[in-house]
Amino acid sequence: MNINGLNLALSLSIVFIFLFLITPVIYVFGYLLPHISECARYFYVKLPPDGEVFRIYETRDGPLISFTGLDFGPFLNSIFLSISSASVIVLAALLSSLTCLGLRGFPRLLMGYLIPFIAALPMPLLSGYAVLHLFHRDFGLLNNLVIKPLFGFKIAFEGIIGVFIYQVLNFYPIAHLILFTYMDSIDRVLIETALSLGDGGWGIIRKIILPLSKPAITATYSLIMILSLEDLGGPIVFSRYNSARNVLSYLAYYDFISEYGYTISLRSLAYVLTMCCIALLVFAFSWKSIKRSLYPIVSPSKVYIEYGGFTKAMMLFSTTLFHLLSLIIVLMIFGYSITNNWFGNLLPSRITMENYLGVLTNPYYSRAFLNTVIYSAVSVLLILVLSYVMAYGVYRSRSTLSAIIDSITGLPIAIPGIAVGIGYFTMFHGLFRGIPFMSPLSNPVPYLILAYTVRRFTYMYRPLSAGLQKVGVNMEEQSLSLGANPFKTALSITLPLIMGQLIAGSMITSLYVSTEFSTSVILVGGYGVMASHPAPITPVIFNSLIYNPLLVHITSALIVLTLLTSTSFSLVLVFLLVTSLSGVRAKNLVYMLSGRAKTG
Amino acid sequence: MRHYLILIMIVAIIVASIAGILIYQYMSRTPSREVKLTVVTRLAPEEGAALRERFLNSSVAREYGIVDIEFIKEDIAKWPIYAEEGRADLFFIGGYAVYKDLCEKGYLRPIEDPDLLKTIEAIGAMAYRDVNGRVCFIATAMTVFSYTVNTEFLEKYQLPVPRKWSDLMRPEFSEPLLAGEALVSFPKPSKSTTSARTIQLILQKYGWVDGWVLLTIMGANSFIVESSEKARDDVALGVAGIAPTVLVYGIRAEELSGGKAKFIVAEGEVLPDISPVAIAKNTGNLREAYAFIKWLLSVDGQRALAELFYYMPFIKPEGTKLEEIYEGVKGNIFNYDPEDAAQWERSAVYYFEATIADPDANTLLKNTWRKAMELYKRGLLSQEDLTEIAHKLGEPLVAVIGGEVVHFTKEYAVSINKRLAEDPVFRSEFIDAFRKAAIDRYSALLRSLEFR
Repeated sequence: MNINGLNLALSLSIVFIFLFLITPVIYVFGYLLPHISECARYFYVKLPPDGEVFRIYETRDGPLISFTGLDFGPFLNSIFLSISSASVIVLAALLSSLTCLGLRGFPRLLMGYLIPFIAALPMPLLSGYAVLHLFHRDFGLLNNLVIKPLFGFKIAFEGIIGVFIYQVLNFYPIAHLILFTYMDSIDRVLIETALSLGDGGWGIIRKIILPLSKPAITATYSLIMILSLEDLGGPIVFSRYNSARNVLSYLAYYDFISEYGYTISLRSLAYVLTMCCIALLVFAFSWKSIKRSLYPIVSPSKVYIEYGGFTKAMMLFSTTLFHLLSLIIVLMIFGYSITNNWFGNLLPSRITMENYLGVLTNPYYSRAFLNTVIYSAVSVLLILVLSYVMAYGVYRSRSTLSAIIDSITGLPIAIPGIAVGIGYFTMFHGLFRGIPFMSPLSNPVPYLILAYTVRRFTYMYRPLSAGLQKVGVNMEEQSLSLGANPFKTALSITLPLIMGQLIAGSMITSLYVSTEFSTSVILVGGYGVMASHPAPITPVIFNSLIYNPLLVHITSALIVLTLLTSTSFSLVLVFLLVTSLSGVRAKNLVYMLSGRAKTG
Repeated sequence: MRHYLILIMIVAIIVASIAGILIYQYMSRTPSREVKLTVVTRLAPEEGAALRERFLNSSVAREYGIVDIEFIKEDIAKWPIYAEEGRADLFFIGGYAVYKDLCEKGYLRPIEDPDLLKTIEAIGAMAYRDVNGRVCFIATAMTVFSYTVNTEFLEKYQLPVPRKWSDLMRPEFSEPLLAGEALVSFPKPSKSTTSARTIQLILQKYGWVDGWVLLTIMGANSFIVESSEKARDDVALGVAGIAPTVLVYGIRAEELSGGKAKFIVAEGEVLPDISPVAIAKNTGNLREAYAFIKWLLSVDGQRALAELFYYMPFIKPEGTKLEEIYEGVKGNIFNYDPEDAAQWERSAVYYFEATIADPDANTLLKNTWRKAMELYKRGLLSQEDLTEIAHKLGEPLVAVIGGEVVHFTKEYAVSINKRLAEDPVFRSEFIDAFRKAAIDRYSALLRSLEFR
């Protein structure tokens, strides 16, 4: 690819992202502009706040400690929630990452990567039901199986504290993976030097690990803040309590379309833009750290720290507790998928595979499953092309566009999904109202795929960038000197060399595309009951659970089956695409992936 | 050669004849084109699926070549778009006010098929006409709204089963509030027809002022939820003790709860409602849309409505438990006036959401009522004091909108009903002004109670 060609491709990528990620949000802002003075009234602070952190009730069933939390009004609630969630999560992830640095071999792999990876599997909304099932005052499993029998009282997490617990359990594994992967790649030589100079475990942590991990800690903190800010699942699950409803994301979503008159709510748009501004501020503040630390590639263990016996035991205990609590959510969802009548009860009525059969035979679920697999595959392929062009442009050219590309790749993290969804609906429905196949109301599929592509390409871009930075340019130079054109070199030489990163990126991207919640629910909120509806699984899960919470069983089967299928299908497609583009045989690609070179 | 030609001709004739017969038979058995109908509805997806199955298996669907029918559950706000863009053939289920509004705004195509009009008259189905006297929408069946209770929840607080909504004014029904729970799971009326109807019933039955007082105290004792389904599930799971439900949801809750939930026929407060159907103005399948309505009014269709949704059809099906249920309802039907309700329905919905359901207002309302209840239980307030506080909390508010002082009387509600739907800026001002007025009132009352 010559410089002009590359510049053209980079320009097109920038235009694409600008058109489908930034413009819809700007459009919302334009809609709001004439009424901006009226929006001031939506921003208020309740001082002193309503509610209480906890209250003890004497019930017929014994004492009950109910944690509900303080309500400062939507603006401060969202800020405080995101700050407190991020603080607790980062501290816990820091502790667990340091604990894992003291492990070797399989325990390190298990605690460092495997358990957090499984626990980090995105299960929108369903994880909220699992959290509710764990902590409910009446039918909560922890209360009935552990707390009440051991201590004689019950604990309930309700209101905004319920949302906080939900976020901690859901986002903690993500934070752990980012932090531990980063710490795990710190050069062991530094540690050995410190050891040879007589420093011990805590000295190494204080003087080497923590200072070097600062970018990763900052980036993780910012990411969790943004995830918490835009989270809709937690507030929906705990929405019976006023404080849980009094957050920006929930109010923006439920005010979005007024039931009568079909006019856009000013409050909704004002809150959406506020969320965007907060997220962009956080993003701008931590951009340098995010650039250096997000989505690093798993590398072989390098650092080992020796802790004292008691310290190690305590650290292991805390880490195991956090790991188990977050893992249990995913395991419960798997449990729902193979049982009946478990939600709301202590034990399921029976173990069954009916839910999986139901997904395959019921046209609404099977259609949603199929839609998601297809949307996910198409989006992953689009994301792959977009990300490779951008990463290649940034790391293989001295183009002036590289700096712009590198900064916009973080935007999908900063712009909340709910803002993208509302922006898409407002803009494209406004522009194409009444034109068949163009309005997102009549034909949401292209908009869904576009939204997935611009919202999730960072998950592919980061691993590809890391891959390109790792692979030296000498092989590409040899290819060029032997007469291959730059385009062929980019496809036949460079692309296969970063196959490992490509597979990792495709897997993560597919997982996050398949479970995208806020944009999907806004674009395909209502869906038909015939077998040809366009909805992916998340709106179907959302609508089903609102209709009947016991559908948590079949929808759990739906998500498990979809994640398995869409990830595998996307991986196969990516593999085939790389094979056909690069001209490298599939067998040789497998050898390359497994680390064994195949000659001839 | 000639032999071969003849042979070929014979074979060709035979093949052509067989083909002709087969084509004729095929043409006479199946219609000239296959049609898919789109029905925009408030039916839940699984309800739509059940009705779809019944209809597609009917002879009417086969006769008219309807190969599929899609029921799309959509927010009522989006219905005009479906009509405008020709994306819907029919609208089915929802409330009287919704259909009246669609009819007035010209989103419905008048029903003019002579056969269908005869059927409507023959079975006694209700037809609603536009200003020109043309049939705009019809009632395919009737249903009833009341409430469902969870007996286990009520027993937890040693509460009796309330006989009617006004029982909830009694202090003992606020016991769950003192334990951090809520007696009622009440859906947002903008998201739930059941909730909107319940508000209308209470305002018509108890009067504008006392009705709002009762609704306010109910609000203090409620979890505000997003849909009637969530309220139904709350009462089925025992998260709440009472939820307003339509009959079918009450029965679903009974099934879901394993007998703990029970649909209650409120004394003199059962609200009848129609199950309307109408044709969207830009339908491309008018003939088939008529066919669907004909099926709904046929013996099979009426039976399906009764069996699937416990609707009270115009043709009474034999051998279902429906008659037994409706026998219990007799004598308890409230004389609901849909024309009156339609004049202020939206104003009431937004007023309720601003002053009772809004998270800030609801929290303060709960705090104030909880404080009053605590004082009452400590003997510092009498029953009369409590009633007085309830009135102070719930009487319609006065607010300032655009510099003008307005009192939320019934007359005012009627005067702004249409504007609230069409003018988002005014609606925002209305909601904010009354929300602020409610918060000020609740705060002042709470402060006064704290000094006791």
